[in-house]
Amino acid sequence: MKKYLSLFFLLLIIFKNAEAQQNPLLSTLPSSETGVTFRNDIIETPEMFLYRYEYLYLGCGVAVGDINKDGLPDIYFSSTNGSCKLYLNLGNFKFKDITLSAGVATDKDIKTGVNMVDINNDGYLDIFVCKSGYQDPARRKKYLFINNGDLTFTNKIVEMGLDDRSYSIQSYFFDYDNDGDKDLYLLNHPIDFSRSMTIPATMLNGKLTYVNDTSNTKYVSDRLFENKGGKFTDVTVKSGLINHAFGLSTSIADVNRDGWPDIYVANDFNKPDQLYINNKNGTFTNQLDKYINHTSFSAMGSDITDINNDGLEDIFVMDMAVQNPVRQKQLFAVNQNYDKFQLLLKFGLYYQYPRNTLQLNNGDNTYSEVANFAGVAETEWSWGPLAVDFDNDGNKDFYIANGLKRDITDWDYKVFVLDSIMQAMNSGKNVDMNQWLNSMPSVPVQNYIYQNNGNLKFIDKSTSWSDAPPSFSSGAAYADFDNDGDLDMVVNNVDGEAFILRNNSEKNNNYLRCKLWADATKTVEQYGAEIEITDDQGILQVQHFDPQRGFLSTSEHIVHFGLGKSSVVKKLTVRFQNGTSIVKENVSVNQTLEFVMTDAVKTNTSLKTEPIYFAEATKEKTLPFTQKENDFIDFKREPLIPYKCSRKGPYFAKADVNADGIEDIFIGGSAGEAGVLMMGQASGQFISKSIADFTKDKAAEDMAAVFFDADGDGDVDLYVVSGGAEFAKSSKQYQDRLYINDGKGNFVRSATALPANFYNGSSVTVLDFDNDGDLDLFVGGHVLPGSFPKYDASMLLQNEAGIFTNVTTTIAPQLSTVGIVSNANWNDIDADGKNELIIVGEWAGPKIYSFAQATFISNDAKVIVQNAQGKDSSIAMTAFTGWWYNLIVEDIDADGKTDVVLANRGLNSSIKATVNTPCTIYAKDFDENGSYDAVLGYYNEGKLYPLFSRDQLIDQLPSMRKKFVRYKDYSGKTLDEIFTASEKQGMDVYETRFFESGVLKNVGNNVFRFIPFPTRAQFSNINDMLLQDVNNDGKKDLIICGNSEDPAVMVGVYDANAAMLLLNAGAGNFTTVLPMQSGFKLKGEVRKVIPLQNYEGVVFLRNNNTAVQFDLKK
Amino acid sequence: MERLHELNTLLINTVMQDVFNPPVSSRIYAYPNIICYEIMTQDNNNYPSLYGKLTDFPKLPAMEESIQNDYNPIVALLCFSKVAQKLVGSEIKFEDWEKGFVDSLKRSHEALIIDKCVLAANNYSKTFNQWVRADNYNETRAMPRFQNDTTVGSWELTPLDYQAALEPHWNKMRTLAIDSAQQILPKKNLVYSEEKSSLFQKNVRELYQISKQLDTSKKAIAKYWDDNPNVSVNIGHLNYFVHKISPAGHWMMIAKQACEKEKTSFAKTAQVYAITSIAMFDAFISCWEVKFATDLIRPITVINRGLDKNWEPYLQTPPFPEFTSGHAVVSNSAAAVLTRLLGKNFSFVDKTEIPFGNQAKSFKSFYAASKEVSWSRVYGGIHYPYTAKVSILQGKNIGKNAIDKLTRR
Repeated sequence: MKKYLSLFFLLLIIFKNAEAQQNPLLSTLPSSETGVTFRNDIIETPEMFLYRYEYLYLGCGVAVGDINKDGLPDIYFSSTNGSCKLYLNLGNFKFKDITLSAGVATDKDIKTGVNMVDINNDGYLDIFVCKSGYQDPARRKKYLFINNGDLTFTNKIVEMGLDDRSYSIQSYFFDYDNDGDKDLYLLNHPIDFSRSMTIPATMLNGKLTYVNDTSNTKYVSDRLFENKGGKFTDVTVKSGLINHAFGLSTSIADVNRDGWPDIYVANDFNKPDQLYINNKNGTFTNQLDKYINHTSFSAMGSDITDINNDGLEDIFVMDMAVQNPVRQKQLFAVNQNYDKFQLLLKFGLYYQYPRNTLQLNNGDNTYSEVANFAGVAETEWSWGPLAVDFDNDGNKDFYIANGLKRDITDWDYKVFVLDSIMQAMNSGKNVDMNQWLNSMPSVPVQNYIYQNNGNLKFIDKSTSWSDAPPSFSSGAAYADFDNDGDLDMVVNNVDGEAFILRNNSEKNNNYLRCKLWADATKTVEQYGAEIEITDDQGILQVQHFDPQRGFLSTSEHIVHFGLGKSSVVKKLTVRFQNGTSIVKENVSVNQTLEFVMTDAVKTNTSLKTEPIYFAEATKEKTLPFTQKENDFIDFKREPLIPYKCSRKGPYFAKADVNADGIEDIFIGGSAGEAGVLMMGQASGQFISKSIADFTKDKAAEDMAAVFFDADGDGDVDLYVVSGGAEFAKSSKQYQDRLYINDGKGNFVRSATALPANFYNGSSVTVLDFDNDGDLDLFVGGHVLPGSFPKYDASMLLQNEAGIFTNVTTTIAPQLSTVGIVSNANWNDIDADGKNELIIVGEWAGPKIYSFAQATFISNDAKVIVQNAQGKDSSIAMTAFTGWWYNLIVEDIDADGKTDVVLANRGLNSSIKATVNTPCTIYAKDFDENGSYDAVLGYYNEGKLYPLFSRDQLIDQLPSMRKKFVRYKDYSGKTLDEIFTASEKQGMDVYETRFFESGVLKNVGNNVFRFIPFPTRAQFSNINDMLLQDVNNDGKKDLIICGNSEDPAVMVGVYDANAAMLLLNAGAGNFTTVLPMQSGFKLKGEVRKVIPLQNYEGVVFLRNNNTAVQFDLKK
Repeated sequence: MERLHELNTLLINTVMQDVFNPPVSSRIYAYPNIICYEIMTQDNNNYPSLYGKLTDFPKLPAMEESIQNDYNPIVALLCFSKVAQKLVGSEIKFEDWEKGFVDSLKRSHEALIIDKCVLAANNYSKTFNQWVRADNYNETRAMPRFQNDTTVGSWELTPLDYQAALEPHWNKMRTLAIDSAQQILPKKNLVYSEEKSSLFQKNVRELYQISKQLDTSKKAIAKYWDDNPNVSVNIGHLNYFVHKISPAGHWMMIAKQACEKEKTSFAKTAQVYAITSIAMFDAFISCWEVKFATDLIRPITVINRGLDKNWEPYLQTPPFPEFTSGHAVVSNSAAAVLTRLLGKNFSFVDKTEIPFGNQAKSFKSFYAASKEVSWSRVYGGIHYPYTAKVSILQGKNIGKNAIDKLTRR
């Protein structure tokens, strides 16, 4: 075996070397070869530098298009404060600078985006160049170079009615009113950067309201121009598009698939992105919050395209998060302050996080943000993303142009260096501008290239696929410059030569290219048309035609599909924006097709999918319950914990409490709110019943609850666990309560039945462990309040004639040290005819305890897990650590062995873990001031680094200020390097190795195989699960619900999966049912799923929100 | 004596560069100056010991005979440095200072004696630091961060950084010369009211009027006394921080300049620094007690809500409740001490602000300066006029309390 292993490694090494020696997929061609010597050198003068215009470094765009109809795409570069340049493609990657002869030179004012588009519909591409920067409107007169058809151009910005002097970023042409011509969305921004981060509020009609300053939007608001017979008219006000945001890119697509183009605007700073839905009447309405759960904070470039080949287009938006562990701590974003985040939310500025966002289209007009899952959240200061299928395998890869000329977010610069320069200046020292600017670190970075391997996981190929050096890149565009059937790249770089990247993938894979025209003259391009193809492998691809993508740039005017090894396209459908379509079958590959709209026929096929399984119940029928969460902020007590422990509700219990044959439901209250008893009615509705003792006990936070017959009188009594973690440890609010039923559903709290127990509880499990016929209880303890992640005590309560005694220390000492418990179950898991207690919780592996010889003893169970390479390994169940939030114990695959279904945090987070690289906490009262200091770290580039920034660490541990006097002292320090050996002595170490939810399939002899749930079920945490046969195939399916607002601001809420149906595929496997098919369209933090009597439907209980009910479709 | 000025200057600069907040800064100024005074004046009957006067202050043993009297200043300075080193972030600055100091001493003194001085300073500062550690500072770090009260009129987060209020538990710090944080309080608090004729609304209108008529001289006054150790400035993604000397630091500099002008003795200089810093330490505790008990909304918040949604104060609003004014209370406590120790009509030229872009400025007396401070906060748009008046009195009383108690034999 050993021999084979070493041979394997040897082969691996050879293989790796071979890969490195080969030509990279994208080779950087030198300017001496291409003739493209363009550089965007940013010239800083006292009149125009960073402090006067913060967007000076954003760089410029590049536009690609065939200006002379010779079949070769040409290039126009925009230049910040030099002249823009036009390069004619001579073939074979030779280009010629024809700027002067073509008449497209520009002045030296600040230019930004550039677009190549045929504005006058003469079949020749024109060039639109935007300007911004200078306060003098005369210096913002844009260029509209009209192509004369003879390699010369004439600037006709005034004649065309487009002499708008806004501070403009980029022009986007599209037909918003479906009248067949191209209208213009002009993306603009305000100029007062000092107010970009403020949150002004005032009283308006008695209500505290955010001051959205749209009073003076001249030159500032985005503008919409309607094309009226070739001349443009400003219709911004009428269209409802007036805004006051720092927009940096726009992506236009028919987001809701109603045949009308919608507009996504990515906005920098405090103002959230906008998703303008086309109202089909010339107006738009921003409906971002209906579609999208959170956005990037400093949103920059964007692209809309289908990245997972499900036929639905997704949205990818750039931000400036850094992956490199040193730079990550040196350049971290500012808005990680809990209070400010809440303020932004309060004033409608929405959930925004400083990282890239990848919005995966769910097909029901909702999106799940999965950048962390996909591994594309952190790509440095990123300007433009482009989804390009570089290897023509049918999966679109990503090219991300990034880099900022100076690291203006460097903390040492912002906090220390700049200040000392200013003091020196004040004291009379001469500091010139360059000296000042040069004190800012300037670090070029690698543009990111990600390979899409088809399962929503992206592999970083930045250096293996490209030999381009680190750079400050801004605009980028793709085009097949040499007509060899693969997409090459051109990148506009600040302070460096532009990149021309030749794609070397030719002949490996097949492709298909499509052009779209109005009629047979092939003069007018049809933006917005959508092409759907299905290849001979059954793989579906969809793209809409729009060359205006990424950042400040225009790519080749073509729709390009990579096809992998497919030799034929089985079916191709073109859907034009006017509702007509063309269908072709058995299309051969490796060719360019041209489609004309006059060949298309009117179709009425709806693109909407009807749900199959569930439909939302009417308001009248829905359980009338709204949970109100009390505003306790764990982070005020424990600034360094990764998530709140106080926000777990609501919990419920159900049973027929009044013996009328209809199930009733108890729902617990948060601290300050009484629990409610919902009495089931014959009509299927619920009516709340008032219980005086619930109100008396409302100060406590109700965690778990259970109905059971405590006193053996034949009716169900109610045990309610108190918890919530917000009170100080050992507070009397943690006392659990037993309410005795009089048989008619009237409950009175028993004063004597329970022992005193002031523990922060989380769960209750009914078990007759001593087999004496009365029901005993296991009550799980959650976190020790104020001392995360220490645990509070769990209890075994023995029932003797309705009186409960805490017998943990005598009968079950092992259970008192079980850790943070989320839930437990009493079931026969080892087929010995007796039940075992199965316990799950956070920062621990699941545990199984058998009751034998008058005590609980732990079973030595094993888990078989598969690593990323598909290799099995066996680990102890105790090492199978996760943030296990819930469990179901049942034989789900009908093999006669009891399995365990486990809910976990999922994989859509920046905090990662594997079996060998656990998410780790070092904890101890390091500074001996009475607070338990828990410092979390996770592996990044192979080493364990702390999650939090220097300032956050110092807030918890002030003594660290001495160690980390400057930010650079902290940046790149591992968790081990933060603490001295003596500090580490006696500390507690907590680990989590698994974040996947899934099934522990029982394979017998206390061995379990872990089968993770499918991809989409890992997009969020899972709070609760329900087994129920939904499709009547005799196998129990799984309804999961999730999402959480618990996480610290710098981790971000989990919001990508509120509820999902998973169909049981047997043998422990489940398949995903998309929300558009299951019918589970809902948002928010879904904490519980309640099955309705006779499985007629389900109720989802949401934290701080209403209940939502779904009926099973019959 | 130059060495003592040098040490205080080093201390003030280090505190500024390490970006400590104003209350914490007052703590860092006080302790080194307390031990310095205590050691310096050990055998000087004109200067009473602080033992039995400052809360729980330990009795320090007499100096070893061989280094008595002559070497008191050396040991006192070494103690200053050693205590300061523990309190600041950049320890290296004091390590370097001490090394340079000891090296230079060894060139002019017998090395053995200097070693003895170092040993004595080690022992004194060790005992002293035990007392420092018991001041509840570390414990207040473990207490909950400030959480906003949602009732109308309560303090709210202010731009640019929308930071939670600083040091909500500073009133739980061990006081020095006052018996408790509650000993010296304003007679009548400013209370939020929506009633047009209320004292609060009158103050809001008055402040707004003042801000509308702010002339160059008033702006200059506001800017001169800004003394905000952490002003954040925002140009889009470039969000940088400007550090100015803190309120207490500014008055330590005034004390320094006054002593230099007066050419005070070492003992006297140590006394001026010590009592001034003690009074300011107490002033912050007293002021913070009132701030978090009253939890009053800042002018920017209340004016934006009603009078003028676009109004901005001339100075950036610091992140804690409005009433009373920290800078006014602290400055007046310091002025009270300096007036008693150096004279009522003591005129001086203040050059502290030159590195922060202001000119040197002359004052007729300490009170003239501290009164100007109080009103500078009104001109700056961060405090109400009533607060300015009340804070002056609160500060003076704290200063008088310190000087009465600590100069009594």
